[in-house]
Amino acid sequence: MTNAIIQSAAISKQFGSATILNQLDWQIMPGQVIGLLGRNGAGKSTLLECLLGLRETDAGSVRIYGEDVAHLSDVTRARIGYVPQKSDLFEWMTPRQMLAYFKALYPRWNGAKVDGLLARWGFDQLMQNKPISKLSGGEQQRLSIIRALAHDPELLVLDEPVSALDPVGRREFLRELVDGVIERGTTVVFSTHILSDLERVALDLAFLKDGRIALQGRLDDLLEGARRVVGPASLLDGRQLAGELRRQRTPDGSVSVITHGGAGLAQLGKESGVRVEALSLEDLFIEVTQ
Amino acid sequence: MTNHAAHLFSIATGSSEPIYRQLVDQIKRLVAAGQMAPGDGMPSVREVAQALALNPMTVSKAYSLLEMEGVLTRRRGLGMEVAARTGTAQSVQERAELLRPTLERAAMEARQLELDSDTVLSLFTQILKEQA
Amino acid sequence: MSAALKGPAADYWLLWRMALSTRHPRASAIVLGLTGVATLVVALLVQLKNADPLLTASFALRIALGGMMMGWMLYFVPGAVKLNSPFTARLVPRLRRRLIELTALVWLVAIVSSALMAQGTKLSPALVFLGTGTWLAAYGLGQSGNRMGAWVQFAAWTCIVFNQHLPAGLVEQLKGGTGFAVAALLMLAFGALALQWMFLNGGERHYAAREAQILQAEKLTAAGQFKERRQHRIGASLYEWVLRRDSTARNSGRLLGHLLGARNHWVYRALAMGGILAGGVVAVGLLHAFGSLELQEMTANIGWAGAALLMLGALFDCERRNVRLKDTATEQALMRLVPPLPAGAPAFNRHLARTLLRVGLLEWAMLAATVLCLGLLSGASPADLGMQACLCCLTLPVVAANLRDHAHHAGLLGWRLLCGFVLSVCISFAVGAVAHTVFGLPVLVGAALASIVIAAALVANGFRRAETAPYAFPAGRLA
Repeated sequence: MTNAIIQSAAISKQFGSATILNQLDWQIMPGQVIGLLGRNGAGKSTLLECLLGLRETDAGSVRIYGEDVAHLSDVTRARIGYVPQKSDLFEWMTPRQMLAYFKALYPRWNGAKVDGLLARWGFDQLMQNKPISKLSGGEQQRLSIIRALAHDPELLVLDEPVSALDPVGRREFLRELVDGVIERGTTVVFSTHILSDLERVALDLAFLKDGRIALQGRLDDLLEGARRVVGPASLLDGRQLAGELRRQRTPDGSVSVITHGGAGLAQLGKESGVRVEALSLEDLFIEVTQ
Repeated sequence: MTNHAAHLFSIATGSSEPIYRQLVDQIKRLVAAGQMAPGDGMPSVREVAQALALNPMTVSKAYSLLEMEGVLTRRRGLGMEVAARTGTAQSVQERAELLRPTLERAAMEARQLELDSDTVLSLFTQILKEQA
Repeated sequence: MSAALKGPAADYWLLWRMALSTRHPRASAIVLGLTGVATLVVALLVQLKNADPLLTASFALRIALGGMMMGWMLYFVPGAVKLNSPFTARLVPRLRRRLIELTALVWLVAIVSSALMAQGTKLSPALVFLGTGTWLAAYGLGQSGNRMGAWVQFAAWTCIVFNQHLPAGLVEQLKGGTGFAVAALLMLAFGALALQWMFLNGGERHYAAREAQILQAEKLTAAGQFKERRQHRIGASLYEWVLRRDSTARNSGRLLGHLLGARNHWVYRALAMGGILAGGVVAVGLLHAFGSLELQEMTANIGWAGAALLMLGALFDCERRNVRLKDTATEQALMRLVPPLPAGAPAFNRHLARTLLRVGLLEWAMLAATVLCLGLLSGASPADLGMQACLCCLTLPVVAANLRDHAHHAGLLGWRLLCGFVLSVCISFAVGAVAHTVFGLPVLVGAALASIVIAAALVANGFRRAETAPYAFPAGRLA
């Protein structure tokens, strides 16, 4: 607990009368690759912004590398890379100018990596001298990622980094994440809707619902343990199953229960009329966040 | 004594099986089918992670599991290689074990259709005869 | 330069260039180049005239400092505020600190040097110090969109300009001693506060300020000026009633008219005119109740001419419609697929032209009616009212400016529209003068008639072009 990189305790945030974050606790350990999932408007961006100190919280505290996010030292700032959802990329500059500008402000800068990524991700000479506002959404997003990776951060926070990229772009991004980031032991936190990317790369998941982390755990364990038990109400009503998450009546009168304690359900599956199904990540997402 | 490349493997996202389990099953099948002979070199964790855009820990987990089950062995300084088989009898048992998940699924469906085991077995025998 | 100084200096140079690049990619080179050239030229001239190196140096220094200050005020400060987004302020090392340091440094240098330059002139250096400092700090604050900055700037400017009216005792206090010290401390505190507010450090206020800045910048563009904003309640309910009426009537012409946006519907013009008339009634009532007889007579004599200036609003209306037509491209594409509108380019274009003409004439008529009513209210004579009516007619051709080949051109905007209008007025007056000499008609009446003819001709031309032009609402502007 004491060596968590990001340590947030009981953060709350309200926008007007709506509560976005409700006494949320979250710890992120060094080297973790964790995906943050949630419905649209659940507050994933707000949570990430609060964790980085970009927005103030109404209550609670956040510490990064032991420092209060409201007063990060320059050393800590140089270890953090952030890809915001809406690119905040100085649209009047050209990519080359923008990267030169950031290079001057960060102590560590991996010029070789930047050049390599620019070349591999389709930024030829012509495009490097076009103002960023003239680039397409996908190109701007790729540039935003390059900028965040350029100073070899130890903590990488990504807010829907691939929403505008086509499948090839996303695969390239994942490759770079695996090769250049995860291999070096960087801690990665990212929020995305694209579950297939998460499955490949993330080891941990956190589901944000109703202002709290509703479910968190290792991806493999969650997938292996998640089951949907469907059976007649006579058998399942009033019977508490291990690790139960949600219980619902289907239109035809039977009961559907989502649990993530899959191991103990083998016995239940043998009873007649009861069906035990494994869940994919998408099913789990839908069930947990509804 | 071939060294296999990482693109021999493939994984599918969106399934209910975790990716490390998919890799484990796939490698077991390849070994059982003879496509990977004992002593063949396995691609490094890094190569597989790069090729499939996976977290290296996932690949490493799969390899460790296979090593524990005796399908792969670790060579000093040279990475993983396919373990030597210790006799044909074991291989039959191993292969039979690989069929278990599919048969379990079939058994569940049979139970849902409320078929008795005799009907199911005779159907299976018939299918095997057709396939042969 | 020692290593300790080199770091910040390099940062300052980088930030200066980057902030200036928000205006123009080469702004830094241009500003420095121009300042350098101006300094050299002035130094040369002064040297040639006076051959006094000290005087030359002092002049050169003043020009150089002046140029840099202009660059700082006009380019650096807005750019620096733009560089300071919530993300960069919080997560990029050193950035915000350096921006604040650089701004503060230049500010201090500016006020100290201006105080020094005021030595030997009849201005008191202390007052110059305080005045410049307060005004510059308020200017910076205003540049970041802070309302208070604009107010303090205005207040400081008024104090500076009307300094004779300030109480003499206070002014004397400020010139030296404890009064000056206190005032200087207050000014420095204000400067520090201004810096904190110019370069916010994340949080909700910062995000809100960015949104406000973007909105401000948008208002300066043509499209942004006429973009849909929030409507006030009365207008909104009235517009809703009209929209409902047109929707149930399924009148495609009327529905097309809604395309320009809620705020730009003639309903708002009607409300505005109503408001102006009401204001006029109140003003005239007050005049008759309290005003002197001469004032009333003066209003009666020339008030109508002033009211006629309202007709220039027709130019704005036309420009507004053209800008909206250019701006609502996505809405237009949808309208094209709607069944009630006629298919085929000529029929559609004709329909659109008719609608635009109708809306244009309606708004023009409302303006003219208001102007005439205002004239009546102010008690103008019938002859004056007639002249007023003629002046109104002069702006009629503007209505035809909306009838164009919309697929190809965006329509006359800005100065082109103004030129066209001026041209039409000149032609009308020329014809009027000719009519005066030939037929003895008053010049204005002839001009008005000429304008009506021009308007009719332009409208006819517009309709003819509508027939042959491609679809008025293409998916994108054709070349």
